Amino acid sequence: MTRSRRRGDNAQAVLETALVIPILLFLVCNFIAVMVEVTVQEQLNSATALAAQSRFQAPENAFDVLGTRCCGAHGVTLVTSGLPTGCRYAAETFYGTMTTYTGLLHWKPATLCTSGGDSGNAGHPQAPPVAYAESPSNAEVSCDIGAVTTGGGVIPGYVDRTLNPPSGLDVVTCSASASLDFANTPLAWGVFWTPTLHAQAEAVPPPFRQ
Amino acid sequence: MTPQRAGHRHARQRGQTLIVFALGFALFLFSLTCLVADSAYLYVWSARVQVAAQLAAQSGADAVDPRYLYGASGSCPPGGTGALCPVQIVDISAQDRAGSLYAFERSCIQAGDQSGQIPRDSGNPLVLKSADDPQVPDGTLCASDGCRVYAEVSRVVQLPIPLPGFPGSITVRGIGYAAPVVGTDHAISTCTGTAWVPAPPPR
Repeated sequence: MTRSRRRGDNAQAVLETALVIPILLFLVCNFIAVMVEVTVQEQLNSATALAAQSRFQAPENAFDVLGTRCCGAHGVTLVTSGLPTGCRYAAETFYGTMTTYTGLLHWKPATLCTSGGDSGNAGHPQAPPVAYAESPSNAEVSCDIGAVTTGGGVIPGYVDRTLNPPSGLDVVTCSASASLDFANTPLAWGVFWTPTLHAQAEAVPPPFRQ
Repeated sequence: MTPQRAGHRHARQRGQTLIVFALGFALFLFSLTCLVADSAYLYVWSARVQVAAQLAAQSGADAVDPRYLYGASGSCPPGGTGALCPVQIVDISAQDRAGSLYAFERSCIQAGDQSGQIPRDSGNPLVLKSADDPQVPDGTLCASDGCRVYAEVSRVVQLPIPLPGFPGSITVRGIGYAAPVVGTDHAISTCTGTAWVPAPPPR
């Protein structure tokens, strides 16, 4: 084999490698990104479901006293004074469950605690939930829950008319939305999409509360 | 053997090796793809049923009336005798006592089946099981030990790319425990000493 032929072969190998390596890296980056997205979506589903259920750990008539704070993301704590204790329990459960890849998430700000809301049916119009006056609006999770005031007044939760139709059941719903941003990670080299993740969960009150 | 014939034979053998290697490598790559896809699918489902079990146990624990755990008395059900009767763990209303399930079992199984997306019929994954459906071969099993609610959610997962010679479905299982929370500022023990209701038969 002549020297020029060998040099030509070497150049071809270098060129092939230079073409193949970026494609392989691109594929690997996107595989990892999909894996992260699936993991975070599963975690978000779990967090909202457990948050909605944890509302029932608190009595219906329990409200947080002045100065109560709880959980939050990125060093921000949420002031929950005057809100139903169940709302704080839901938030604590949510933040306690969302533990991995949170640095990649850009949350959509939400009102922590709302009440009312109606899924609607033929006899009842749909109605949006209303925020509690004291509720922070910079939370990562939003829960629609009812309560009973010290005076015995009933603050309604979300009425799901598909349950126990047509009158519906007063349920607890929690939702959260975030976009997954890979910009500050090495994956940004090959991942050009920013998926938006959303999760919503509903918890039916236990029988002795219905 | 002449040197010319030996050269021909050597070349044929090289071609044969190449074909065998190509087929073997393709089979290896295919198996690897199957293994990765199936493992990822199983990993996701095992995480889902684990969360479903936790949610089921919590839902069951929330369905226990705290007054029962305190041994409190309440108004008697219609047809009962006396002014006050002990609060029962279950008989809140006819709706809750429908079928053979106690209220905490019903709540637990409903939450487990819904969260674990347990289909009533494996051919139609969109229709999920209800609490009254038989919870075999997959489903939610709930019991109490006198302190906590135990939930076990199992789901038969059909593998996306079944490997030839291996089962096409695998049962994944999640287990969760949760205790009812009662008390004022701090949760207190709710152990009653004996199981609230007889445990269901093991699966």
